[in-house]
Amino acid sequence: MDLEVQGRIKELAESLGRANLMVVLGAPNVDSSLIQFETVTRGDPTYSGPLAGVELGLDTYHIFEPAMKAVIDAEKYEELLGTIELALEAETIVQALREARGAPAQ
Amino acid sequence: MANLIPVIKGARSVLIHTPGLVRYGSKPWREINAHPSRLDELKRSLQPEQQAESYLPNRVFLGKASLASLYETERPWYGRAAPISNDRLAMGEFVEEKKFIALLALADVFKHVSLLEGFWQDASPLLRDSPLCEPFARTTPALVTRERLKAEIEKGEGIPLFAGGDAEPIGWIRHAHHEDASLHAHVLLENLCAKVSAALAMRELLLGQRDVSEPNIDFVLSCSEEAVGDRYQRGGGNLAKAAAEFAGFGSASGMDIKNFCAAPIPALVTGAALVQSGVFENVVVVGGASLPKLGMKFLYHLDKGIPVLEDVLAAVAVWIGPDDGASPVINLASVGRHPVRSGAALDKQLKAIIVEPMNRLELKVSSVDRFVTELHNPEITIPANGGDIPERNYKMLAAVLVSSGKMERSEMPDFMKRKGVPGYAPTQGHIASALAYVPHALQALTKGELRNCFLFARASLFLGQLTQLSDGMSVLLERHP
Amino acid sequence: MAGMNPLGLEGKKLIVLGERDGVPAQTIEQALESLGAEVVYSTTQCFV
Repeated sequence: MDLEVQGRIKELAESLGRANLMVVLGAPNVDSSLIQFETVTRGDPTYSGPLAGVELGLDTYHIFEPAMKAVIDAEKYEELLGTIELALEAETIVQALREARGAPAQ
Repeated sequence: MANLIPVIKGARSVLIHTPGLVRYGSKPWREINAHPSRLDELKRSLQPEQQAESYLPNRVFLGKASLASLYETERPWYGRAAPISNDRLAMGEFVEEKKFIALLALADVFKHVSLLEGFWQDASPLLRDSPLCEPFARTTPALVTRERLKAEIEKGEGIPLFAGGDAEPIGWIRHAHHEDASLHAHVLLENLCAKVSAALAMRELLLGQRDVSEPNIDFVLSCSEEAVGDRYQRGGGNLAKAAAEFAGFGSASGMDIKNFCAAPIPALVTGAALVQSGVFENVVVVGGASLPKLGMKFLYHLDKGIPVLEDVLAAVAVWIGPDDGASPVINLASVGRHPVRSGAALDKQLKAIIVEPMNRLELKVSSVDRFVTELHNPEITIPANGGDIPERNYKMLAAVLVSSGKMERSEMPDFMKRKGVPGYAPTQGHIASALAYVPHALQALTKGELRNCFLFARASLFLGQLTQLSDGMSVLLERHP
Repeated sequence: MAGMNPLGLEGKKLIVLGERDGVPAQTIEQALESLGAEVVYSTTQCFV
């Protein structure tokens, strides 16, 4: 993840507190989703940015995940995200994040 | 009244191998400043010239290997020996670093660049022996002795120039103004790279044509990415005219069309509109190279033990003129634009710039032979976790065509193979954005089987932090009726 | 969805990390507006 972005997230976690923060991802593939998830939860896996070795443990979801989908009006979701989901193999991203959280694979 | 329908009369590319400049790409520059040991790692992973020249995506870029060969050849593409041809019938030329650095000094009319005397003695015969470079080599740049160069570098008011992975510098570029970040040596170097590469592509265009010479060109539109200017006007512009001057296009004036990576399409559309309206007869659209993008993904490449593949600068020039009865037509009735209300999402963008013009022209998917978009070489982006950019664009386009009722869902999986173009362009932003395909399109629409191709490009406006929007534009090229 | 309760976004402070080729920040913000969360940082990344 971009070093500048890591810096901003670290600052926000320090100033606003981790408990209230939530990260929402829009990455287009599994690799990118996992790196971003790792960075804001367990620390920068590339050990190059401000979040290297910093376990923020932020609540993090991809916009495609069921938990997010459940709170967004279905019609609105379809209008804004339906086609994108169709193109991006959303299910592979959802599955990869489920595994990254340590939940059993389905 | 003459028929002013705009046609593409020529399109050529240059690919310039610049391993010594990779350290001045934005990412390597920042990374090496933070961790100086990275420089040695970078230097160890640079590709020798022959390897870069024979690299399959680079040969495809210059029309020396077919687009189909990208599907036929299994990756990795790097490290495979391949024949190097000097085929003048190809769509462009490979330029070695030594010549390019010499040209940087020759293009620098303010003498901020100086070269080591010995380097110039080696490089100038190479320039004179090259039909492409010879027209530039009629003067001598500022030269320095080894001692003087050492003294300049010690003063530290600029940056040294290197050839390949050499430890010893071969030249120097000084800041043009000590208090002006827009005229820092690093920025001047970026702008000079854009100017020289654009001028090379323009000369290459002339070499590829029998029926055009400098005096015929009225106007040059640069869609290059760099912002030329000073502290009072950072993106002042007109790189086009600077490149036209260096290329010897004495009758031409010019201007720049800026729109992040999408700029080539608005530039082609504007150029075609200038021709169709009769304002100018012959317009050249040129995309000069982007130094900042060299080595953009080099950390990932080092990490994965693959060569630093972003070691080439690329430029493309396209000549647009009035109907000649044979050349492919730029269909101005087809232009798709991306309105503000469409937002930034890719699906909405493609709906605006592809589906809307298809509806307007009553085009079916079956009546479009190729959709052409960001043709980034996947071998560069996949190791950097960026995925296959063209493939992702085609997946999204297929999904948009399905959701717009223009295609069946069952046609999605092989959409890219049937209707797309695989990635081969270096990650030079705007060059990869359909512009890299125009020389291929010209051949396929004249000598090949292609009936038409829909070019589209996308601009990440949000990177400039003024808006969350993106932009895009499209235009259809058609075989002459 | 089993094992996943609907999220309460009320009062949450959101960091939106969009991507050009995926879902850009603007689209994520549009999807989540009026759910009572405050966007404190929003960016869209572009990898080419």
